[in-house]
Amino acid sequence: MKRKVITGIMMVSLMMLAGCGQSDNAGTINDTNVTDTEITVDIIGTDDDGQTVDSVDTSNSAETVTESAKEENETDSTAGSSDTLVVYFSRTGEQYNVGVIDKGNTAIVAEMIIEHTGADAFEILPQEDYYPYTYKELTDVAKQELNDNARPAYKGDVPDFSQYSTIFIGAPVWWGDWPMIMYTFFENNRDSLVGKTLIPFSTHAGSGLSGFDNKLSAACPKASIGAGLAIAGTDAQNDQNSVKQSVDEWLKELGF
Amino acid sequence: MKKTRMMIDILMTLLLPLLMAYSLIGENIHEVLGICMFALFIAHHVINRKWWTAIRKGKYNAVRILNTAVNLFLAVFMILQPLSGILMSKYVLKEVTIGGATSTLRTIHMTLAYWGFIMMSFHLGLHIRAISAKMKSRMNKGIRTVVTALFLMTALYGIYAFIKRGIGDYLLMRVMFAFFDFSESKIRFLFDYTAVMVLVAEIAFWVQNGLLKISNTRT
Repeated sequence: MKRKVITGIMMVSLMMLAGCGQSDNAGTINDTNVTDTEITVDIIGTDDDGQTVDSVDTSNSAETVTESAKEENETDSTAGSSDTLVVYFSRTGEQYNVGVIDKGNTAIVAEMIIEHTGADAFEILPQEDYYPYTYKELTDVAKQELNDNARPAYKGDVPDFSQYSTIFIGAPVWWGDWPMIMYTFFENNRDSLVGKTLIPFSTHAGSGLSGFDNKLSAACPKASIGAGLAIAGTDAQNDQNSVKQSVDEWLKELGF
Repeated sequence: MKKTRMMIDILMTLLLPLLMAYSLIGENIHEVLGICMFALFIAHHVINRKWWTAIRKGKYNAVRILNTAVNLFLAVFMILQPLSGILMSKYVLKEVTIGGATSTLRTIHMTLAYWGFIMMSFHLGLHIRAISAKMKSRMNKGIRTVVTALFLMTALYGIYAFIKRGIGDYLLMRVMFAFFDFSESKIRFLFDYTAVMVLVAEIAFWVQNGLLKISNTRT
């Protein structure tokens, strides 16, 4: 009798194991690698036609987003044709598990967002770039900044926040947190960000979104925070097709 | 004295899944709990100091070798772990720092966290015989079967949890940064890790049982 009970329990558990193979993240915001080929993705925003996307009630983004026709060269201009902005911080040089890169992981994801949404862009560049180009040294500097609760200065700023209703904010995960330079940005612009929809995205090596949304919310209490996206750095460098798919699906669910 | 010893052991067992939760329950709480665990560990060794003096005495059979190996690993681990943690501290002991080695400390602390977790669970399983025997003698057959079945089911769920949480990847250093889903239920996380503890403890229990049986059928 005992043996039958145990066999029965093992059968049930094995069935549970089989049924619970893939994570329940398919197609949702925090997924990192969507390599599931069953998902068909309608990529919007890459056509030349103007596209109006209806607002979808999945997120805090309450407005319809209109993409105007000729958006290709918007990446480095804050020319004010969009009500969406992408703010990001990204490092090149030797990074984790990707060797020496000349285009940052976060920058790659940021550009995919910009391409999809036609948003304006603002890259956070340190005022004085003392960040080391070797990974280990960079992590030590980042840890020191974290310990010191530093607020490194960055160059320039977004000239006019009032035209933006949705702001994507992205950075690599440094010691489980936003890089301290991001907090400089949050604090400098706390008043301007009131009432906006802020949507975080991260690049990481296993930490996922690492609480970027919670920390963003704490830093900008009067803004609403959208569902964030986490992309593994190695995928951003080496598997851009699947990353683009993830980004497009995420943006679609957000109403873009 | 016996009661204190038991209390310390129970507290350490309870702290373990909480520590594994790291930032899910708060990084500062993690540091406080870590210091508590370190203090309990010291107390545990003071109480059991005779074990250390007896190491070189007597005969070593399979069971004793297994126990000694696990204990020695844990002793080393329970020095390295709080040490690396304190040197990386962001809250409680943030003044204690060491320049230039934080990335190495992080690798040590994270890898040892998962190995230590498995080893502590194994250690628990190796030592649970006395308690389980005492409990069994107090239960009638029906309750005993239910309790045994419950532990077995939890252990089987622990296999699923082990796979789902990707603990193998952390142990083999295939993933170098711990992933925490802040939107998930913390109870779920703690239950999953407790189930893995039960799984590993059960494995240890049965391995030790097997070794004892083998050594008993010889002279």
